[in-house]
Amino acid sequence: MQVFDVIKKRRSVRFYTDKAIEEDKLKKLVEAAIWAPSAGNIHAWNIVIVQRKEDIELIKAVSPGMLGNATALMILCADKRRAYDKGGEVGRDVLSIMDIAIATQNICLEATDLGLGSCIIRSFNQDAVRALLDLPENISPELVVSLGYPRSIPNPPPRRKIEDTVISWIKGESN
Amino acid sequence: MRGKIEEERLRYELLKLFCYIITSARGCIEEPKLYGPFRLIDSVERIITLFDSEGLADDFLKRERAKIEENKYLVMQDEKGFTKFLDELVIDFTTELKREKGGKGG
Repeated sequence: MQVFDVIKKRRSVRFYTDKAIEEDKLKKLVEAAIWAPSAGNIHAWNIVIVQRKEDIELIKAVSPGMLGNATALMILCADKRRAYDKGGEVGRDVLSIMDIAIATQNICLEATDLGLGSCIIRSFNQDAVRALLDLPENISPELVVSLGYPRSIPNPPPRRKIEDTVISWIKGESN
Repeated sequence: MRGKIEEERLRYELLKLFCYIITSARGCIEEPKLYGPFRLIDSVERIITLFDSEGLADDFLKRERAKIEENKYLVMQDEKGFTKFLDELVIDFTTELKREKGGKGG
């Protein structure tokens, strides 16, 4: 698919079939994340992958925003120590989060291209997820991506128009 | 009589539900205002599902759960529609409560 087609085809999918995602596809999603731009090339991100149903249920229990029946989760975490050591306070508090958001979008677009559904979740309790996954203090779970083979794909919600989105367009001489 | 394994399973399911409600409560302090009503209504659906797994959900509860499942996502794109759905749910449950009270001779 063309990039723009993938962008428009991606939906927040919450309901999946029982079919497990193949390991090579999950690795491809991680690779897509790795190739995301990163401020200062710091790459202060880590990913936890969960496929075992019982553990998905546990994380779901402390993640009110996680609805439906994902067959895999990718939990994108910021390595706050690495982010601070290489990027200072802005690196730790702002850039690492932005980088993770961009990497997450890469995951979702690649998932769409692979025929997978995905949904980005921020409504989860970070302390609870950290405790469930035994993550060290410097590893901060920032976003969860639920994944699976779509059982149903929601209709696209309305989008704002270009003219409502661009509030100023300063054109050059050639325009 | 309920067996020990069944009791442990129910306790585990209840703990998961409590985790959901508690983390929702914590999240609602900072999250968008509409997430609050959504989490509450989602909790009702989860409680009915738990009841159902114990064979305690009657036709009314199953019907209302289906209604919640069908309409709760309106919160993301149609606030008026979501509000109307909640209004209908209020009447559904109030009517059922009144009917139940009548049946008990109250």
